[in-house]
This record gives sequence, structure tokens and C-alpha cells, in this order.
Amino acid sequence: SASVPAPPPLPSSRPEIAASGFGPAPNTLTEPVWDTVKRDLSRIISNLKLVVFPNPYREDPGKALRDWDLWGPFFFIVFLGLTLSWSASVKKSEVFAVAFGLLAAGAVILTLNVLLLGGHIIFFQSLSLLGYCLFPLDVGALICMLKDNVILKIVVVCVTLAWSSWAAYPFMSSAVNPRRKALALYPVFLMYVSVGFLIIAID
Amino acid sequence: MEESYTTGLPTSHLAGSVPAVTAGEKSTTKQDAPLANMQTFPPSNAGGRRGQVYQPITAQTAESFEQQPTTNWQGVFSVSSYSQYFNVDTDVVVDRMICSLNPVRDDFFSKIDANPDLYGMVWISTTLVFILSSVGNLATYFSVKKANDWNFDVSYVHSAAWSIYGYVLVVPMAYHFYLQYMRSNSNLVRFWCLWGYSLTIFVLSSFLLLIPVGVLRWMIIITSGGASATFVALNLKSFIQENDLSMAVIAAFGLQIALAVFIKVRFFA
Repeated sequence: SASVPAPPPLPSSRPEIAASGFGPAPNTLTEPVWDTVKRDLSRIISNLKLVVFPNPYREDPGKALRDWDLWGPFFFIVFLGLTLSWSASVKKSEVFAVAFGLLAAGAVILTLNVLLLGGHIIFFQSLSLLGYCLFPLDVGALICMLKDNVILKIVVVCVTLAWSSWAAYPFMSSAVNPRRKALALYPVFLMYVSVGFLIIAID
Repeated sequence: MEESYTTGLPTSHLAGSVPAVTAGEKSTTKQDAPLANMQTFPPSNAGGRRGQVYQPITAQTAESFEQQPTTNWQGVFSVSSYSQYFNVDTDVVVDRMICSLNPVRDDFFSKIDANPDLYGMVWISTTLVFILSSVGNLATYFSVKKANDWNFDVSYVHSAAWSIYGYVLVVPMAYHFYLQYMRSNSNLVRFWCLWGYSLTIFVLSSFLLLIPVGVLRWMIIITSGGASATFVALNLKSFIQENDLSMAVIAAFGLQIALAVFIKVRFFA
């Protein structure tokens, strides 16, 4: 009776594995969970810095994210839904459902709109970008939840709406023919305005 | 890419089995299946129509021109088969919107003839749904004495979505089928385009309807409803060109007025 052979010994010292393209791929299945989470978090933060914050060293503002992912957008959409749900005094679950559905379906429809207008984008990359551009509206919704004053809400929503639109503008406008830029951008603006209106109106 | 099921195994003896597709029944294989073409909808079995349906020349159809345009459902789920209906530029869309505000001219169909688009229908109706639910709620907010008593009424969103999308989808389809039944020429995409653009004026008048004076609101909605209805009726009449279908034209006028009144009563009471 043969016993199960012992697994090959792991190398005793594992250097910090960078994506160098040489050697075997890093074994992400056996690494500690904290490493995985840290890596994903740092990717989200770096993508956020690229997309949302003014970055004078950005090589090409219209260039899509190289390292897109869907965790970031998922967090931001769920966070926005939760914030709106917490702010609402009645029908909390309906508010969450409307917000989540509007944002998720909206991202898909906006991407389809660009594709139908003859633009060139990758479907999931566009979903990712539209999700990251929600970050300013998340911040705005949080502020509106903490301080319930109509004038403040209007001001905060206008500022964050402008910021979100500014973040989404280079990507969307470079994806289509310049003569159709407004046709691709208007629905994005419409979606952010409707989310902004939802933030103001929920009390 | 189509897989070939020519394994050669005879399966028709198996009870309830689907007979395998043999190679002989395959149409010519190209990488793009024939596009889903709305001009052949509903699929007509009239022998003379097959192969002679006018298809706008796009990049894809130029390659597969020698193919018979069969009603192949593979094109329904591909985005590229619908992009022919979104082949418009910003200035074209704006020009069509402005033309829809003008109730006196009846040349809308000649304007869109070469290139009818569904962009206007989709996004103008979506804008109208959003405007009605938000401005309608704003109007109730202004009419409430104390700000604490006001609650955002979500039912406005539901009513707006069902009524506007329902109207702009169903009415042109009803006219298309009715005209087909009366053996007149009819084109569903162009009808959708017409009715979609006819909603532009309601987007603008919704902002005017914020003014809380009752009589003024009725005047505004009658004016804009009348303009929109005249636009639809005149253009429909120029398209149909048969005198005994004038009842249909009058019905279109009436339906648009009914929509206008519904908007006023439901959202801006």
C-alpha cells in the first residue's frame, strides 16, 4: 500500500512576487487572505486615483483603465444604495432596490448606447469606469445623510455631480466619433442627475 | 461561428429526438449571420419579397450581399445588427428635435427617410419619464405649506415609466399593424421615430408647468399638446396618402391630446 506522496516542498523564502513576466505565475491560491485583500484594495485605490482625482501625470485622460476590475464599482454602487436606504425614513428596502437597479441597469444601458452609436469600448471596462466615477456621488450622499439641510444638500449634490461628470467625460467622449460625443455623454449626465435628484429628494 | 453537427449518427430512430442537422441544409457560412432586419418584420412569406428586400448598405451587408435575407434570429442578440438605427450625429438629432417642435410643416418623413433613428425615441422618452417624475414631485413640494409634510412620491416614477414608454412603444406598433392590415405601406421604425420625437415638446413644457396657476397650466398643456398632435397628424397624413384612412390620422391627433391631458392631470394636478 502506497502512502500519499508528500507534496513538493515550497520554497523557503518567497520574494515579493511582482508581475515581471518571467518565471512561474504567483500562486494566489495559497497566499494568505490578507494578501489577496490588500492587493485588491490597492488596485481599487490606484484605479480610483487614475479615474476620479485630477492627475496631471496621467498620460492620456481618455485612455481606459488598463487594470480594470469590478470590485470597486460593486462597492461603490452598494454603498450608495445603503446610504440612500439609511437616509430614507420610509420604504427603505424599496429605495435601496431602486438605487441599485438604476445604477446597475444604467451602467449597462450606457455602455450599450456607446456601442450602438458605433463607438469602441470594451463592455466590462466601461462598466468598471462608470462605477468608479460614482465615487464623488458616494461622498455626496454620505454628507447629505449626516447633515440634513436642503440648501447644503443641493450645493453638495451639484458639486459632486459636476465632479462625477468631469471624471466620466474623457473616457466616454474618446470612445465615439467626435460628431457624436454629445449623444454618448448626454445619457451619462442624465443618469448622474437622476441619482443626484434621488439623493436630494430622499429624506 | 456555427458548429457542424454532421457526426453522421442517425438519431431519428430515437423516440423524441431532434433530427441532426446535415451539412446540406447549411446556408453559406460567413462570419456575420444575416442581420435582424426590421424592414422584414413581421416575417412575410410572400414569395416575391425574399431576396429583394431593400437593405441599407452598411459594412456588414456589403460583405454578405449575395446572401438571402432570411429571418434568422441569430442577429437579434447581436449589437451590431441594431447599430444601423443609431447611425446619427449630434447635429442630426438636434435638427430633428427642432423640426418636431414646428407643427406647421409636414416634411418630417422625408427628413428621416434615408436614416431613421431610434436614438431619439429611446432617450427622449427616458428624459420625459425622469422630468415628469422629478418636476412633478417638485411641483407638489412647492404647493405644500410646511417642508416637513412633503414626501417624495415614488408612484410618480412608476406612472411616468409605464405611461410614456407604453405610449411610445405601443401606439406606433398599433398603427403599423393597422396599416399593414389595410394594405397600405407602413414602416415600424419610422413610426417609432416620429412618435419618439413628438415627445420633445412635453419635455420643455413640463418645466413651464411648474408655475402654480391652474388656468395657466391648462393653457400650457393645451398649447403644447395641440402642437405635438398637429405635428404627428400632419406628418402621418403626408405618409399615408390615402383619403379613406383619415380616421386613423384623426385618431392619432386625439391620442396625442389625450396623452397631454393625462400628463397634466396625473403629474401636475
